[in-house]
Amino acid sequence: MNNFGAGRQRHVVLAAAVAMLVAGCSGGAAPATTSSSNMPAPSQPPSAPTSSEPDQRQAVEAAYTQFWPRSLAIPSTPEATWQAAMAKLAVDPQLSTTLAGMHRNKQVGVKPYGDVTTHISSVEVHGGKATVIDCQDGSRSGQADAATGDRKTVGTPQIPIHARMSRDASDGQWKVAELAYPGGPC
Amino acid sequence: MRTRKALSYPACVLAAVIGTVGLADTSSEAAPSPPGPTDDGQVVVVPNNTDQFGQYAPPSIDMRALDQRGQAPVRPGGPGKKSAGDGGQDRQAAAGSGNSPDSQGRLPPGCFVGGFGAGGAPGAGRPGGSAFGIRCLPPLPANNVPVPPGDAPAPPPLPTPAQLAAQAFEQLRLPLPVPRHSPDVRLPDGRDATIVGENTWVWTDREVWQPAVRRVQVGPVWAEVTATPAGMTFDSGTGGSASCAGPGTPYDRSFGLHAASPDCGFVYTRSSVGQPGDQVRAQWAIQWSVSWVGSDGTADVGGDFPQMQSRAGASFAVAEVQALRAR
Repeated sequence: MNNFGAGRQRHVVLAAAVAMLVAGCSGGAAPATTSSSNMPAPSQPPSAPTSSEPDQRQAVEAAYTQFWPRSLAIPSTPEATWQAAMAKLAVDPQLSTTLAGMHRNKQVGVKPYGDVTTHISSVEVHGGKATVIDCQDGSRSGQADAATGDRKTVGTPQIPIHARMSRDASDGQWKVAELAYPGGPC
Repeated sequence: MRTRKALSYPACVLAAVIGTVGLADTSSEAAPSPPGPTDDGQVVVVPNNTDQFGQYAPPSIDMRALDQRGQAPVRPGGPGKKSAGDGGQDRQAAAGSGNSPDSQGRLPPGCFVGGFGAGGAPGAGRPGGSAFGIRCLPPLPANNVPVPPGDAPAPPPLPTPAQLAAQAFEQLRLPLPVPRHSPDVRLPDGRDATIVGENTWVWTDREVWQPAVRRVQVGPVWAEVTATPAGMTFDSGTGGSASCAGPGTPYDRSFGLHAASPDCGFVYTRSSVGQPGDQVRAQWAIQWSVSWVGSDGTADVGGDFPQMQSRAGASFAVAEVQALRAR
């Protein structure tokens, strides 16, 4: 697939001073890479009602970031444990949606692979509710054949995700209440 | 397969050179080798309005007529050519929750969003390409239907055209784009590269830019699915992208040295140093509008499938160079 410039008949010399600049990632906060398989499971920061707003924002961001590797690891565990494991990360409607998706994937013989990187641009907390705006790098993740491991799908580097978060009254933890994929540019 | 023009430089120039680059016509290039089996170009790219894992967003899609397992969406009014106002129906498969999920029909049981039917031969163990769409499992047999004693089992009913269209859709193989770009130079370490700040022309071989057709017939009932290339997108691998109405224009020297592509180009503003392997992974994706026509032997029917895409990738460096012109 090398066409050498397709007719740009010039002689270009790559001198010793070939300089390559580091290509950066535009915009957003520092990305957080997650792994669905190797990442340890850090404890979620406490989110007591008396916490300050920055603490709450940090707790929301941590809960959202950790949602991905933890939930992606669940389909590799026994199916009987999925409900309890997901309930630590999400509340309805996302809880039911994700469990249904996991069962559906299992039926058709696929499972998730890879990891995602979150690029959170906004976290807004209003009492026990919060919203997170993310531009997820999903380019190293997708669905794989559960039997062979062959990769079937892959995400794109910029997936806009709007997450609605909720603090679960039962344990005080921030959990994902609903994920929306609006599409378009981040 | 690679070709490279031998260049000669004065010794005083060569002394300072760590690499030379020759730019040649594409017209003399041999056809590229197909992607290897490990090339991730065979993996389906999931649109960014949905969840690439298929487990975080409810599968929903604008397929109002997809109300039966294995049945293709039927366009109201028959198989006539779509009017301009129908463009909204020819949409890419989407599994996102969206803003108004109730306005979108959920996929029926047995159907799921995924990749299939691109490149390669039908029935191949591993798909040769990538496409995104929906797939429905075939209807389950009715095991418990009692057969009256003494009666021969009734012949199975003929499938509907929509059911055959769903089969044809699944068997359809979409051609993959053949990534081409210019400049496409070779660095001293053997890597391909384009150049920072230069107009990079992007195109795919024209031979893949043609409708793909699959027909299935059972008795008098038939359906024919046609995928028509509708556009191409180029993902630069650095966050930028370009949308192109067609397959792009192959670069030729007659356009001028630094000319911009008239229809499909991109300008890299930074080098690829710091990227994995100091390269970018660019993607060429062809969007396909998919429709079908068919007949049950008495009347014509037809409809539209969600838009699909086939894509292929290429890794290359983006080099920032100081150019010296040799006489």
